[in-house]
Amino acid sequence: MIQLCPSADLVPRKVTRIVKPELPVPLALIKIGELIYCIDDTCSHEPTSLADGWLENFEVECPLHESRFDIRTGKPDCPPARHSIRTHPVAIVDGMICVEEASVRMDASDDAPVVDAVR
Amino acid sequence: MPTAEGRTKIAENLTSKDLYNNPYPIYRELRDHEPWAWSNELKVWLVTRYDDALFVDQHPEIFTAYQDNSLAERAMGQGTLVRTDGEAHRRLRMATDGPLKRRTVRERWAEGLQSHARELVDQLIQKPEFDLVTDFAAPFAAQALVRVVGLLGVTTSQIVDWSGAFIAGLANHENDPEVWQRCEQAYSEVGELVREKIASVRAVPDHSLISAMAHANLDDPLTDEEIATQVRLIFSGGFNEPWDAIATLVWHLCDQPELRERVLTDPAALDAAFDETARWLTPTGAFPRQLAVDYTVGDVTMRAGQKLLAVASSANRDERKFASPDTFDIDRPNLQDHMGFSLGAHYCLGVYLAREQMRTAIPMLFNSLDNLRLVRQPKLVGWMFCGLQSLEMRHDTTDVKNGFAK
Repeated sequence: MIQLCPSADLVPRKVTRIVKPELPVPLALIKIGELIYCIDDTCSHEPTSLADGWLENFEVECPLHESRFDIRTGKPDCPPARHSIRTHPVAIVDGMICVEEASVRMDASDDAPVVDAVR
Repeated sequence: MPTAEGRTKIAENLTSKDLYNNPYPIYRELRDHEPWAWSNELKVWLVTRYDDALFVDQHPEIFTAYQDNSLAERAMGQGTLVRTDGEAHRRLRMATDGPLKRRTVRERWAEGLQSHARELVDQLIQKPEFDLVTDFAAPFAAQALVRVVGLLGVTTSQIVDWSGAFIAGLANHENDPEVWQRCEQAYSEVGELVREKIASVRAVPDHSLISAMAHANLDDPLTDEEIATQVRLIFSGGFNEPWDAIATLVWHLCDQPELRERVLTDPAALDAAFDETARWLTPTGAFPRQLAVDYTVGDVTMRAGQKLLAVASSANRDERKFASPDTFDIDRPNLQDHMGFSLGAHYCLGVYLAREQMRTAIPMLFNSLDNLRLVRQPKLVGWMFCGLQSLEMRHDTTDVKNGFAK
């Protein structure tokens, strides 16, 4: 398990970016009601932090081109993003939000560039 | 010029004129036989297949939006949003996108769009025969832009002239001096109005795009000249695209009554029709790029510094990607993959405004004008920019208020 931050640090409905040496990619945490959602923080279209965007209901909007990703599924709602971002289950252990290493690890398949762009 | 196999290359002597009236058969030939083709006349590589055009669009490290001696920059000014990459592009985009953002458009501009469409349609009620392109689509798209940009008082015919001059410059591969003359005039007229407006919004900010640019929260704020350059660009694409798209969608809805019923009763169908219009028409037909490095595809080698067009209007009609690509079909499973707005970093800035314009205009036209129909089939023209020159229409609504009888 990788510790992300104390659950008490999360402000409800605010997207919090988490960058740590032990994380292969930045993550974002969002608390809505009693539930905490964890997603990859980087837009699948052009690399930028989704935490700089806007949260509306269960969607976070990319600050650059405004595709909206469902934080429950990772799916974008419209172009230009056409690929999902990853979502990760989290657990609270002694007040710390934790994520499984296996969930955030970048596999070879995750590294592949956008399918349509492969020559 | 014959190749080694004795076959004349399709693109070699291709001119703008050849492409203007109907580029689609030529694009099909290119896709089938010469997907990366050099044109001596246009002095560009033409990339016509979907997969290749998308690859170009998504690889700015190989194909830069920046160009030496860019036609767009000669027409509209140095450092336009569409000819920059990376951080320079992000800086300009951050300064311009505020008033056009998805969540801003509806609350800030929808009401104005609605009332202007109403006003234009009321005028059409008095006019049983009209041209949708000049009597509705042009003023509707032009005045929307005038309000968003913040140059109130600019007339529709000024926007038509300026926009026409800038896009002619952008497509002036053959270096026609008369085109450059028109551009120079438009360039200075827009520049002067923008400078006046900047002075006034620096004192009193407003909701306009010019105000957003003047007050952008950047380490390196935009100069007045940079602001004027972006306004020229926005007048070129921001006008032509919705102008052409509205007329094209109305045309298809007249030709397909069942589709019209769906679009008028189901907002999701209208949104899909907007995207299918962007695919089928591709109002901005090609995206100019320049080779950053030498690049080889199969037996074709392109050299660093050469120019290239990712021909989106061909990509969007590529039968390898879209089944029956010439058919207007809102139920395509891969509709969202179209390149009408680009799919790269230069994804259309005005897409949410254009969508709102369509959501406003289409129901209002068909719901207010009884039996709205075409007088004759229109003709599609252009290749760098495609659209209808006119769409002659007729309706049977009578103006009860003013006592006109049938």
